[in-house]
Amino acid sequence: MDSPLSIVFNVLTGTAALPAAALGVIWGIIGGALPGISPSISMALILPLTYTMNPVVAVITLAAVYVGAEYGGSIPAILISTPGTNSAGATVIDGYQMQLQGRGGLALGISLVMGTIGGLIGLVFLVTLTGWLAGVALMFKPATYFAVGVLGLSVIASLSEGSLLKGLIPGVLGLMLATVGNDPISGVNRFTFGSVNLIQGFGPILVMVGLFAVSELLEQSGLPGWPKATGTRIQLPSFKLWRTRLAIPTVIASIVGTIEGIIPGAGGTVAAFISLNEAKRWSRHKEEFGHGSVEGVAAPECANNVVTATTLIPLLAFGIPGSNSAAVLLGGMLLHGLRPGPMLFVSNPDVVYGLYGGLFFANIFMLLIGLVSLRGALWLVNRPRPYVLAVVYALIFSGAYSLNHSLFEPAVVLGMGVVGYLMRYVGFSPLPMVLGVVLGFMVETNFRRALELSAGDYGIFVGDPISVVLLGISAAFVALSLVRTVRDKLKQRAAGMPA
Amino acid sequence: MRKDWIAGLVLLGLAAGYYRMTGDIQRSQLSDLVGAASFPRLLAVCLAILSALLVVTGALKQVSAAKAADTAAAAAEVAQQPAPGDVGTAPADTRRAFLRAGGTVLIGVGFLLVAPWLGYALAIALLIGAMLLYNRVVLNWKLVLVSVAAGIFFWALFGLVFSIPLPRGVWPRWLGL
Repeated sequence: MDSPLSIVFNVLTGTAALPAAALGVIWGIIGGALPGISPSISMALILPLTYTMNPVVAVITLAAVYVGAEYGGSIPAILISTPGTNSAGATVIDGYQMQLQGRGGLALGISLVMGTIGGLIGLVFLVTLTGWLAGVALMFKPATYFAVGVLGLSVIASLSEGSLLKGLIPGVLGLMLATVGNDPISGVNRFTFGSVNLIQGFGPILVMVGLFAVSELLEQSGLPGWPKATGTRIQLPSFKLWRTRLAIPTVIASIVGTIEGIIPGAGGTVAAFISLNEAKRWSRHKEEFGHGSVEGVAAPECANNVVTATTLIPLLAFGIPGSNSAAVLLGGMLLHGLRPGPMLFVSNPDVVYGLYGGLFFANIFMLLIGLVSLRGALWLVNRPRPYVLAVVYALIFSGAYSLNHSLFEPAVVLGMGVVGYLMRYVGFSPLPMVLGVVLGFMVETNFRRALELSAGDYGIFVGDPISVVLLGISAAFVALSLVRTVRDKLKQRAAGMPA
Repeated sequence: MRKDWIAGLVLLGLAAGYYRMTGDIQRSQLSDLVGAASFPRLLAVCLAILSALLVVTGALKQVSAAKAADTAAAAAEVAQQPAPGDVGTAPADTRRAFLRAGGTVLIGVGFLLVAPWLGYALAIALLIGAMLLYNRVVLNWKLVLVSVAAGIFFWALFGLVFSIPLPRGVWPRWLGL
C-alpha cells in the first residue's frame, strides 16, 4: 500500500487538484466578500458543478472554497463594517476601527496572514487527530453508529439558537425527509406518491442549497444596498509585530479553534468571538480592544481559519458534519458515493490524504491570491445588491438543473428555500434539518441492523459501552440546554421581563 | 409566542399525516424484522411530541407576554405615553418582507414554467431581468444588456463548458432545426 505522502503527491500531480484548489480559493474569496453569502452558501452554489469532477478534486475544491471564504468575509468586515461571513462579525469590532484610522490595509494583511497561519495549524490538528479517532471508530457496531448519529443531531440541536425544541424539531424533519424514496434495506418505495423523481429521495445537495442559499436570497430580497468601500492597499504585518503582539493571539486562537472545530455545532463564529475575548483577557494592551487593536483582528481571523480544518475532524472520523460548511462538504462526498467515516481511510485513502494536501495548498494559495486580489474584491464589495441577488438566483437554478438535467431539481431547491425561509421566520435552525437529511440513512440503517442483530431487543442500544457513553453525552447536552433555558427564564423573570 | 404555537399546530398536523401515510408502505418479502414503516412511525411520534410541546410552550409564552403588555399599558396610561408594542410597525415590516420573498419565489416559479418553452438562455436572461426590476433597478439599456449578457454567459458556461444538455425551447422546432 502506498504511503500517505506518496498518495498526496500522486493526487496533487496526477489530477487537477492544484488548479481546482486555486479556483476554489478564488470562488471562496468572491463568495465571502459578498455580504450575505456565507462560506456554506459559496460551497453550496458550486456543489452541483463538482458533480462531473474527479471525487478527490471535487472534495478539494469545496474545502478550498471554505478556506477562501473565511478570508473573503473579513474584507467587507474591515472596509465597510459589514461582515461577509458570520465568523467575520468578530473582526468588524477592531478591523473597522483600524480602517477608520487609515490602517485598513494592515488589518487586511493581518487577516490574511493570520488566516493562513490558522489554516495551517488547523491542518496539523486535522492530520494528527483524525486518523486516531477513525481508528477508535473502527470498533463501532451498528448500535454505536446509531448512537453517533443521535449524538450529532442532539449536540447540533442543543447548541442551536433559540430553544431546544427549535433545534430538535428540524432534526426530526430532516430525518423524515430522508425516509422519502427507496427503503435502504428492503427497497420498497416510501412517500413517493407514484413519482419517478422521488424514488431516489431528496438529494442532500438540493436540501442544502434550498435551506442555505435560496432562503438567504429570499431573506435579502428588497433589503437596502450595503455601503461603498474606499480603496486601500494591503499591508502585511512585520515579523516584529507578529512576535510582539500577534504570537499570543495565535496560540489562543489555535486552542480555541481546535476545540470549537471538533465540537459539532460550535463552528467558526463561536471560535472567533471566544478567541477575541480570550485575546483581550491575555493582552497587555487591553485598552486598545474595540478601538483598532491588531490583536482584535488577529485572534478571530486565526481562529475561524483553524476551524476550517478542525471542523473536518468529526466529519472524516465519524461521518458527522459539525457545521454548515462541513455538511455541504459531506453533501459533495455523498454526491460521489463517498461515505465519510473510518472506512473512508481504507476504501478511499486518496480522498482523505488528497484533502490534506489540497488544504495545505489552499491555504498557501489564499495567501498568494489574497495579496493580489484586493482590487477585485473591492469591485465586488461595491456591486449593488440587486445584481448580486439576480446572478446568485440564476446560478442556483443552473447548478440544480445540471445535477440531473431536469427542472425537477430546481423546483425542489425552490421549495426547500421556501421551507427554509419559513423556518427562519419561526426561529428554527436549518442546520439540524440538513444534518437529519445527511445522517438519515446512517441512523435508520444502523437502528434497524442493531435490532435485527438483537432479535428486536432494544437493550442492544445500551449494551455496548461506547454507545452508552455517546448516548449519555447526547442526554447531557440536551439536559444542559434545558437547564440553560430554565436559568435564562428565571433571570428574565427576576428582571421583570416577560418570559 | 403566537407563531410558535401556530407552527406547533401545523407540525402536529404534519406528524399525523405522515404517520397515516406510513400505513401505505408495503411490506416486502425482503424486509427485515423491523420493517420499512417502523422508523418513519417512530419519527412521526417524536415529531408529534415535540410539536405538542411547542404548542404548549408557545401558548404559555403568549399568555405571559400578554400579561406583561397589560402591565406596561397600564403603566404607560398613568404616564400618558404610548406603551411598547403600540407602534405596530413590526407586523407591517413582516408582511412586507413576506411579500418581497413571495415575489422572488414567483419569479423562480415563472422561470421553471417558461424554461421548457423559451429555452434556457432566454429564460435565464428573463430571470435576471425580472430580479433586477423586482429589486428596484430602473429599466434601461444597462439592465437589458446585463440580462442578455448574463443569459449568454450562463448558457456558455453550462451548455458549452460543462456540456450540459440545456432546455432548447420551441425555437428549434419553429425554425425547423
